[in-house]
Amino acid sequence: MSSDASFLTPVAGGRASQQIVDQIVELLRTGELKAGHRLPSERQLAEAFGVSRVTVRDAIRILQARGLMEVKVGVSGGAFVTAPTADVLGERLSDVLAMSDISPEEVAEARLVMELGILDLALKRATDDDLAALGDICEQAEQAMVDDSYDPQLASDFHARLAAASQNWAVTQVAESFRGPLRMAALREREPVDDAHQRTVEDHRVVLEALTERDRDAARAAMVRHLTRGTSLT
Amino acid sequence: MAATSSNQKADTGMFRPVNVGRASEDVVRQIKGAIHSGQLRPGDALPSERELTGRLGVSRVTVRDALRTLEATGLVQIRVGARGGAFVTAPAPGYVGEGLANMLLLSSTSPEDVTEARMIFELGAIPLVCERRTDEDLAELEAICARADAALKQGDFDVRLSAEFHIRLAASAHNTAIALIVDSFQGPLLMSLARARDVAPTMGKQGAREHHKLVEAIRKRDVDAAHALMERHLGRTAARLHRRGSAARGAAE
Repeated sequence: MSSDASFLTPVAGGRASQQIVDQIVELLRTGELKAGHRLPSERQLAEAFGVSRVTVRDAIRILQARGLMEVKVGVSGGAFVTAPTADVLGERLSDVLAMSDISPEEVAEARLVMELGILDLALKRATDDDLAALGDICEQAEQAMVDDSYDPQLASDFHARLAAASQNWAVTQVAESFRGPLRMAALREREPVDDAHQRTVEDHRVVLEALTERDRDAARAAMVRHLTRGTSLT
Repeated sequence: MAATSSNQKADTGMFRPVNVGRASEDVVRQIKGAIHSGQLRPGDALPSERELTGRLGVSRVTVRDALRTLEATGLVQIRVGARGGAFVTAPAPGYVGEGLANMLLLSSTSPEDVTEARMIFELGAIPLVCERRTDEDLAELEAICARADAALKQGDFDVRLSAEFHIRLAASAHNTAIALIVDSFQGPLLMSLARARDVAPTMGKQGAREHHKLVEAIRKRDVDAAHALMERHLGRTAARLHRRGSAARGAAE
């Protein structure tokens, strides 16, 4: 795949770099190009598409911006296909939410819907390993509160690990992408930051205990309390 | 969106000089940051290339690079001419859906997993829909059902009618973020991954009946009934996909 350029067709008219992008995206979608594949060289691509190298470079930059391509320099370098990370999708949701007139309450509500859905899957499928890993995160967070070294990343880790307990890769990735744009911290304007961390650590422990008992009602109630705390949602 | 003529040119005070790593990426990050914080709104003009160059302490090539990247992402529109320049623009519909499709399609994920992720939001929206649906929501949902019935009768039912129903139903939760997320799962790309097109002819009649029942449950604000219906409705697709997936895997072995 790295040297053969026969699957490309010359570009005619319009915005050439965009057409190149479209062709490559199509190849990604049909699976002819896969994550890890290296694109032919700039020169080969320019010849295959019948465009200048500047145009090829432009197209590759666009693909990079979309998180579909990674450019490595050096002897074994080149443009490589990558699967976009969760961040790329999260950015897109952030972009659109930032430009819409969305209220903090709507954001909080969407987050709640997502976390309750994840919780239901975790209630059905969480393994002993999942519970142990969640317990470790809770313990670390509790210890950090005592040591005064708490990092909010631990809260994020808890929710990420909970999503992984769904045993569903798509759910795990979607949750990873959307957690940033649907972040709660900005919404909890009603409580001091220190209290918020302490209460988050306590809330997570209660959720975990109910999950361990497979007590759906208690787990959901704990998650609702956790995510509506300090917001104007009731 | 306000007309272009009334837009304020953005103040360059929101940017700071660049000092690290890949300069054009940093410029992109700063401009996106200003968009995310609401300092830049759709329709706003960015400062001129020359102003950005001076303010950010980078070359004109770097600024141009960053603007082209933002243009490629769909967040900035570059207009030429006397009233030209770079303008912040609202992303096209499908912007989130495309990101979702790219992420899920380029990694090994199964259609069942995607359906389950979709169900999180569609089932989660049900209580909100039951609480907040308006008469207008019900009328529009009924209109979609009527069009689906007619299409089924004529034998030209399209899975897009089903997608339209699900998107309109989620919109009845009156939450922009939830509507956007449900919508992004209904993009043509993800649907083709879920092979929904293949199963559409058989799911058409039963699916349409279930859509009618869903509207009735929502009209009565019956959360349990609507939830159970939606779960069965979407779960049926998931189960069918699962069987097809197993059959395909079996055949390959």
